[in-house]
Amino acid sequence: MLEVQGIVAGYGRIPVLHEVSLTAEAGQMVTLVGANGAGKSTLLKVIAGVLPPWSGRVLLEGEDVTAVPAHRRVGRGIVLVPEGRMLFGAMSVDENLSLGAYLRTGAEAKRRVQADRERVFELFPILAKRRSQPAGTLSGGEQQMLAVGRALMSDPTVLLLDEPSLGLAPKVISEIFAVLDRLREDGLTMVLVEQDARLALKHAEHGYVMRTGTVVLDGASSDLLANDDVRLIYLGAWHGGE
Amino acid sequence: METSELLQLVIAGLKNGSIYALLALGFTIVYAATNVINFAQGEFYMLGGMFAVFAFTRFGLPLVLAVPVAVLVVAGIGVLFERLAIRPRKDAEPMALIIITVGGSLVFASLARHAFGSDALPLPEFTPGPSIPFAGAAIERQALWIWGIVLVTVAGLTFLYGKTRLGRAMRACMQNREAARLMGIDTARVVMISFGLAAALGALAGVAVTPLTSTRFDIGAGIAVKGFAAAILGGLGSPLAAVAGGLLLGLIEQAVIPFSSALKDVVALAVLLAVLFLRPQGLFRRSRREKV
Repeated sequence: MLEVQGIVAGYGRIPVLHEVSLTAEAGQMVTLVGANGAGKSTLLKVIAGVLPPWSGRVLLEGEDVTAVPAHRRVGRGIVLVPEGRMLFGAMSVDENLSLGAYLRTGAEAKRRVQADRERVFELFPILAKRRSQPAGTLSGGEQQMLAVGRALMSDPTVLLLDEPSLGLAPKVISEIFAVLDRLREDGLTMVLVEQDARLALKHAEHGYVMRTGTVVLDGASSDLLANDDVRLIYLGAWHGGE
Repeated sequence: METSELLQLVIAGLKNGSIYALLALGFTIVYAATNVINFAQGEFYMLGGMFAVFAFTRFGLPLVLAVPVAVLVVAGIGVLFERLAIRPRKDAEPMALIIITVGGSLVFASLARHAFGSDALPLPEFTPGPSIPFAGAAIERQALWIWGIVLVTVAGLTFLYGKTRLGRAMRACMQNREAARLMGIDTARVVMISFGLAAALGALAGVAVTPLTSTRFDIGAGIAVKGFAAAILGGLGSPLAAVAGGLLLGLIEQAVIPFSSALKDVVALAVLLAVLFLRPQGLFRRSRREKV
């Protein structure tokens, strides 16, 4: 279980998040929705340890990890799929996956890493075909798949996803979200940041609606999808969306 | 010009070029980890020679011990430099850090003057003896050592980057430091190791060349320019390209000598400017293109 309590954070002296809290139960997918600049990605960075908060706490299974630096948080199971994917473009697909498993050393771990690699190839068969190709030469969708696959190689207990649908074709998006659904069925806890609120709420169990650095509303995804304000402001209902 | 004369110039070019190559490797390794040009790199070269002379003459260590001791001490100085001068400002702009390294280079040079004096200090050749005749030209024995050191260094780095976990982490940092952190790589440690490695390579070059040129507290800045030019020529990317850049610079310098030996030291600067203007990504690298 992941708990975020009263996070205040920002860049330089400019505050972005004002006392944000959220909880992701084990095996649950929660999503953060809201307009650009609401602080969704900033919150993910705080959870991943990339951005130290000014105050507030991040708890994993009840243990305070706020002071744990980003690279050690990976070993604790908090793994971020960053916005823009941040692949190692000159390295092959295989090498990118190996770097995902960077912290998993030793003979026993190696066997499990091998199994996880096969699992990634099973989830995203196209990556198996591209395994010796440099990551920078993949299509946008394949790169996003690799970013998710690489994160899975870290053996996460909490997977943080920042805008996985950004710039991708609808068919690729549904392919990636089908995989996220499978991961959730396998019991992986996930925090999803998405611009496409409707898509996110369809797949997640619980949603948090953010506006200018605070959570203004949260609830079961089905309730949020039915909520008139949410429909009006975030789901583009006035365009006659379904 | 006769072939033997030409050959002699080529030999000299490859000898000097190997030294530039080791310096260029130091620049490239630190740049890869930090995006910083470490202008103290030339001082590591100077200190390498200094400590070897010191260990050999003052402590009477045999060369076979004095050389590795000097290299290790300078590697330690490189690590210390990173901890004390770079890490406290690690979030600063690369330009601020570059200025810090320029300051560091001045500090190292004046400390060396206090510690070792301002005289040129000699060191015997690793294996003294007459030059080896080769097709009408002559090869200094020390040049063979220098080439051997470069070969072993390249082999070692190829192994490090290609086969080891640390090398993989270093390559990951080279491409995207933030992504490397997200993989669980301790990037601060990679930076520290990179400084130590760069310092060791600089020192190795300094130790290898001191028997031919002797060493003095103020030789760091001059050699840094050449190493930097070689690194830029190689594109500050792959280690092999840095070595190629060094050898090429050495050869270009020799090509100028028959016309005017005074021009030799201008060559590095001219090459540096030409590459920066005409081909900033270096000679051996395709321009950066990547799908986003």
